[in-house]
Amino acid sequence: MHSTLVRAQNVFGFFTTVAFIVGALVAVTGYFSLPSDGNSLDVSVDLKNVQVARGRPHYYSSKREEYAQIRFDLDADLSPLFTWNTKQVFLYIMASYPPSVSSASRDSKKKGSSPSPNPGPSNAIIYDKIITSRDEAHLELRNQRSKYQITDISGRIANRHNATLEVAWNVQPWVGALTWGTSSEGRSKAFAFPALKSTGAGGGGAATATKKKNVAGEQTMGSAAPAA
Amino acid sequence: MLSAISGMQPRQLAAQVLNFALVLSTAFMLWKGLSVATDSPSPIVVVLSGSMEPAFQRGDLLFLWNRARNTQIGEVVVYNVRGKDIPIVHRVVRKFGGGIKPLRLLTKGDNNLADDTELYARGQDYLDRAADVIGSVKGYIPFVGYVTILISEHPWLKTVIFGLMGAVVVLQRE
Amino acid sequence: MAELLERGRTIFEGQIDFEGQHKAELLTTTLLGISGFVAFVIGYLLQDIRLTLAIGLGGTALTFIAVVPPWKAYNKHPIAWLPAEGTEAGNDSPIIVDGKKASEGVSNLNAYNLQ
Repeated sequence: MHSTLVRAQNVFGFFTTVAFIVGALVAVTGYFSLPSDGNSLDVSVDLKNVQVARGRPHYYSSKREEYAQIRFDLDADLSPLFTWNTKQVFLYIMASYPPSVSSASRDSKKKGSSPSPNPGPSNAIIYDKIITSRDEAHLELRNQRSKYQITDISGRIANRHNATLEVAWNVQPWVGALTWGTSSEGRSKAFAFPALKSTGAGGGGAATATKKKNVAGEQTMGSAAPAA
Repeated sequence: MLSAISGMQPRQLAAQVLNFALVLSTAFMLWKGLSVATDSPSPIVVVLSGSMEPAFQRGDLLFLWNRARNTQIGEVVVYNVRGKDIPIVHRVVRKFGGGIKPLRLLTKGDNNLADDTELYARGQDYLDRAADVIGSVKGYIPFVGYVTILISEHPWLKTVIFGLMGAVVVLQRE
Repeated sequence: MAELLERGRTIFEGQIDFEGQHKAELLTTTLLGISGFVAFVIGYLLQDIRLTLAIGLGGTALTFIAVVPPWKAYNKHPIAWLPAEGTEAGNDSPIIVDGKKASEGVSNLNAYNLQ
């Protein structure tokens, strides 16, 4: 501590130690202030409508493929996720559906079995929202259109059964560990993607083969099989 | 400055050199040890772009974990685009396959309007979990890595730092 | 030029005496420790992390101002050196002090301080 430089170094050195300790305390208290169980949160999602079309799902898509457009209702109160260490909550709704037919045929017989070498369900985020304060944490969406279409790696999505919607969230702290959560309430009943709709909205020419009118998604929600 | 070195006893000089080598090798060992523990070639990364704002800002430090091979949707992963060596931190928005099949992921920055299809290598539509992803973000410290961004983006800062170090050496009495 | 450099070195070095070093050390630990503690407790009680950051950084800035410059309070106990025993007549004492032998003495002192 005899010279200016040494004093500056010492102060800075001890500052980093204090900052590290305070940061660790913040991370720990924030982590334990989060609800330990996602089921304690008030979350629900319901499918309102699902349609499958063929075309280019995005302006930048290179290929024409089948894609599903969804409408849903969402009720969520994520305010318990806002501790003093919560920077943002990333809320997302994901669709889960069985993988492409080739691999699904084997998989369907072993529903609910322990981890298999077969692929798990395919997932796609259809809607997301960045929530940065407790005041915005209460969501009530009615007949909301999905932000992102669902496509499959095989290019086909029509007539696939046993799909579900699920609400999930990622809590982003100011400092510390990121956490993810879901609620068993925040899951829709199983539904099926309907047959192809005639008009390909995203693409150029809409010359699709099946001209089957599918009025609304609710009709296809009848498949009673519970989500795996 | 030269007189400072030449004035040293050989034993003192050797001690200085060894001390410096010890600091460097300890840092290297910690880094490689962490790399083995997390199974990631780069277990700590600095955020370089604003594409994940407001979650991650430029200069934030991310801690990665690469042992959970069954990456879930909604996770934030760091991947390298094939052929380019720029790590990108984005969220998984689509997931196909898994099990014995390769796990395919599509990513998107929270702050971007479009997904990352455009960022991937030509002809590549999805990331391969095993080949492209170097880790999933588990921990976060804000701002600490900003120095590295400043230095890499403003090379004149290096000159300033060297100048300051020189000034310290000149101004210090041996 | 050499004088200018010497004056620059004196300002840059900012020497303080042993008592001052002890005070500076103590002040660093207590100020930073208290500001860290207060930052955490106030932030936690008011559930406001920005307040934690503000108090922490404010306390650190204060510590820097209080400890780093060689304030007069740190130089109240100058060492009473024994008078130099003139072995070689005709040499001015300041030159001897800045000579090689004296500088070795300084670095030995520094080594002593570290303990």
